[in-house]
Amino acid sequence: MEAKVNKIDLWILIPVLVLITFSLGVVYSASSSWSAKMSGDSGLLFRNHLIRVLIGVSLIFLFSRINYLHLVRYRKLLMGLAILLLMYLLFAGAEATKGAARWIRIGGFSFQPADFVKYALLVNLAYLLSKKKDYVSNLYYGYLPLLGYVLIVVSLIALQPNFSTASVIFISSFMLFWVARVKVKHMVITFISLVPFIIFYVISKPYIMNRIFSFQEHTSGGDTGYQLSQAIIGFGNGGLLGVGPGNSNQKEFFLPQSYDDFVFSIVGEEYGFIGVSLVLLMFGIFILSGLKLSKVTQDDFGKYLAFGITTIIGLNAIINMMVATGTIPTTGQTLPFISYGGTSIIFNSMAVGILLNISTQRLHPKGALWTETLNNEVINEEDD
Amino acid sequence: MNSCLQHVSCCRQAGNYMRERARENKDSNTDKRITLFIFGFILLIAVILYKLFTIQIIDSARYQLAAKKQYESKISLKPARGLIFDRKMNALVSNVNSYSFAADPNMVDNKDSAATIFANIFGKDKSHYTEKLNTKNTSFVWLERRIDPNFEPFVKDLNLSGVIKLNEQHRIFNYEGLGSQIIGFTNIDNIGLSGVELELNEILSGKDGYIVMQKDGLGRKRPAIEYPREEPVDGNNVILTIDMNIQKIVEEELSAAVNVNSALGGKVVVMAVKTGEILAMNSISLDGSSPDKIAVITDLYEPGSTFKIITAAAALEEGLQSKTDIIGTYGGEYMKIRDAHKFANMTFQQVIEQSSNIGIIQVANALGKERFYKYARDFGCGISTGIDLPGEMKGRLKRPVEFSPVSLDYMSIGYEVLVNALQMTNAYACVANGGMMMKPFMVRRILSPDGKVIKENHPTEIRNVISNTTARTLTELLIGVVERGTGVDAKIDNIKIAGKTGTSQKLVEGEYSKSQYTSSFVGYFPAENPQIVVLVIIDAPASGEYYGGKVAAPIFRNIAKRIIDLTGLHEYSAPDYMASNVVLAGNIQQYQPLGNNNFNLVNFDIADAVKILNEKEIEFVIEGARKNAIVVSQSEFTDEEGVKKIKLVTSGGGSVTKSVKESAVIMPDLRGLSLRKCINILSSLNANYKIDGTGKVLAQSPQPGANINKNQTIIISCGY
Repeated sequence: MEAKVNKIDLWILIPVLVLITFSLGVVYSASSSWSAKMSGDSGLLFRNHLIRVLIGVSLIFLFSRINYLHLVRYRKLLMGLAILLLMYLLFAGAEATKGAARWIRIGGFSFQPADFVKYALLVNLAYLLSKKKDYVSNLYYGYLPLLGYVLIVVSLIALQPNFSTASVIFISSFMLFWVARVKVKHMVITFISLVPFIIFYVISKPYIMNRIFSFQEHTSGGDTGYQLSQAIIGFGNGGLLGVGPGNSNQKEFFLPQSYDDFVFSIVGEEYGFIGVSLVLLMFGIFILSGLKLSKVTQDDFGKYLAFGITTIIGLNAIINMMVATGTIPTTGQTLPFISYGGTSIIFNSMAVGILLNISTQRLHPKGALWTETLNNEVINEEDD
Repeated sequence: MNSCLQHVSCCRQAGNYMRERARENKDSNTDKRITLFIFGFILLIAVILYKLFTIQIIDSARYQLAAKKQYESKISLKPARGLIFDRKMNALVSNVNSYSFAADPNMVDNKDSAATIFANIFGKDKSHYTEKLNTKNTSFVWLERRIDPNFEPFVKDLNLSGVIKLNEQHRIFNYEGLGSQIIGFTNIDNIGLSGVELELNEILSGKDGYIVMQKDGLGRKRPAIEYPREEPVDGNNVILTIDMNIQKIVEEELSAAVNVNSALGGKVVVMAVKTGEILAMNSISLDGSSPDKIAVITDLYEPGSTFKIITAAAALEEGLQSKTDIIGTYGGEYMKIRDAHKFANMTFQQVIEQSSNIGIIQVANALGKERFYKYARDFGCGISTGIDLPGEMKGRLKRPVEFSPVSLDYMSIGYEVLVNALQMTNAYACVANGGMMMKPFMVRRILSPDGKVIKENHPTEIRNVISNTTARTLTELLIGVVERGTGVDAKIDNIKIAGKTGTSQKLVEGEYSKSQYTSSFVGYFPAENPQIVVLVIIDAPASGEYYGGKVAAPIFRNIAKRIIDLTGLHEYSAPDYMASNVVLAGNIQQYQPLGNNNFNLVNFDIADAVKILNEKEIEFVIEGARKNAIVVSQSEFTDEEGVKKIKLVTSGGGSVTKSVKESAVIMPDLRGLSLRKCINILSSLNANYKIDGTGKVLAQSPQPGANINKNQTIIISCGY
């Protein structure tokens, strides 16, 4: 059967490239003072970021050329690696930052497994949902195996402890479940039975209460409250037009994490309401295009994968921006494509590449490539 | 079989078909759900956009203000307080730089360690600092002010986040506190508390300036010379009528006299007769009152016999008496009043010379209370002199309706009337000045920091109290007092003194004391053409003598003699005594604008200043500390190779601002003076000197008008 190949969806590619390019200027400005303070070299963090951006952009194009269906073959490997990494973080030489073990340092790169794990989980969920499509409403054969994957990953991350990432993965997984028509009853029952665990967890981790508490107070009580009030001062100081590229004052040690979690505030300060609106517009276009792609994609695996990638990136962006503007309590989410996010930019880029590849095959007749992949494990991408 | 197979296949086809249909339904269901997420995301983006709109557009101004507040710190620049000079432009005070430490409690990273460090250096309790560092709702608390220079080595490299080092000025007196009572004191914030410092506080204090520093989130200042800067306006300089040399004489003599007489205190006023200028003034009070109280104007006393001049003046002016009129003195006892001398009759002249109470009472009764009151008031009793010092008490003069039957008697001899020492001095000055009362004043000129005259006080005539003839007659009577009367101890060879003694019983707990007296002498000289009036009051002398003629007159003589020795008296006769080309020694020029590089680094931390100059590639030299110091002055100069450079002077702490002290003393012209006069002047300058030969001064080094350095030795050559 012949595969139909479409052009890359530029509505996905262009916003991402715009955001990544924009991040170079923003991170350069936001990181220089902190970089100088930490290492004596004001350009160090920027150069690290630049390397990752270059790798990321290359990965976008590379992955857009690789048939996403290959992922099916490697899904178990990915899942195994993900669980291994999470276990490693929990039990072995993890480096503790921000009171939680979230990073693994490999050479000069610090590597946050969660960035990888969420995509590994997604690949598996998307595959299972498409495979179990017909009996997904069956509790034992359909729902519980899916839930098993989610709970293993989420609980391993929650034990780091990284409550916010665990919640985001949990929520995005359930969003995918709902879209793939998992029984709502099952999901509700799952959630209700998880409530005691969540309550116990939150109580045992006082920092979560602190964050919620300081968010309500919205003032300079504690570190997170200070950070938030500084972030908002940054936005306000930017006004409509901003103070101009590189002229942020907040980055001068007023705003902690000005180049990663709270980079959006620096965007607001330097580029004003106009600047943040453009960033929102780019994310909006990306999310819309991603979800639209998911809608039109004939292959279920591709459909779910596209939905998952878009919602993971979109949710991360929305949560980050809501945190920075004080709309929701502080979590530790980076702003995709813009933050100095270490490895997140690399995995997000891979995901965007996959998304672009899906877009080239979106109109394949349903199941066509699916069968081919399963049977032959060979795909001739270029075959017209 | 076939059909069966067909059937099966058909069924399977039908099943497949059904399944396909279901799948399609499911797919469209999936797509609907995705569409729902599209709307969900749009909604969330809208929420964020709304939130940003609120922050960035609606509430922008509020946050911009908050931002500005945290980015910028306004540091006030303190002006140099104006200096106070004597009439010969000797600076009586200096400003000294010293370090102070303050903190912004919000910016101090480690309060505990900061408190420990301060406690260790300054030897105070740690909690003293912890408390200050934990002050809420402020961004400024003082930790230590004007630290002792001994601590400076320990704080030199102190660099704690949130702790600010400031350069503060404070006042010191030159010449070992000479004139400090009149000059007055300032508090730690350089605000005048007493004396001239209080009276002219606004004129002296100048206006604060400020610089705006950029701050980063760690509380570190970032110098930004392009930020707005308002220069402080230095205070104006005040030139007093005080003569430092006479003031020194007065302070020495008064202190010695209070000692010798075991007195409770004493007061001396020296005034220029023709102008009303106060040349020197001091008081000592050992009764526990504050030493900076200017008792000369704040303390009231019953003047006793010195007041008789007023009765005498009235009688003479009214034509009731002449010098030779005979007055019955009842053998020295009249009613309850006793005289020291038991005469039946005395001439009016004798009455004054011997200070006969009974005689004066006769005169006063002839005068009547209305006329007596008029003259007492005209001589200034009960009226403020208007001296430009704070706290004058105007005293009390009863109106005739308030007189008791004996009031006139007592008032005529200086009881039942309260005056301050300056009022009494001014009454005599009025007589000395031919009957014209001048307004006493202390401030001669006010000069702006760059030497322009802002205000000039001219001698002011108040009223003509008595005629010239009466005044002359009174002077003759007063000469007699010193020549043959109660005041012989005030007599000086070769110069005629006119004066009057006074001895009054002190009112102690409502009764006139038999053991505590106020002994005074007031006189002027040279009597033929009076220039200077001196009042001496000794309060409760306790070493035997208590008569004014015995206690106060000798002090008057000592003071008068030394003043006469000091300098030609003519210089106090004319109001325009000051040379017009006075060089203002204390002009503190902190900043000269620099051609193209018009910027000012004064008050910057030296490290910041160096950074800025390096950035601008300007060559510079630094005088003073190079680390943790503050720039106190900036100037431009050209070095030997013709390169323009900037010179920065930094505060080393404890250093005198721009060598005011060195430049403050100006070498007087000593040539032609007697050696005795010369030494008198040099000792009052506190200068080191070396004298060759004897006789009159022939040559001097340095030349007149030159500045005398503190450590410089003045060389005087004498000969005949």
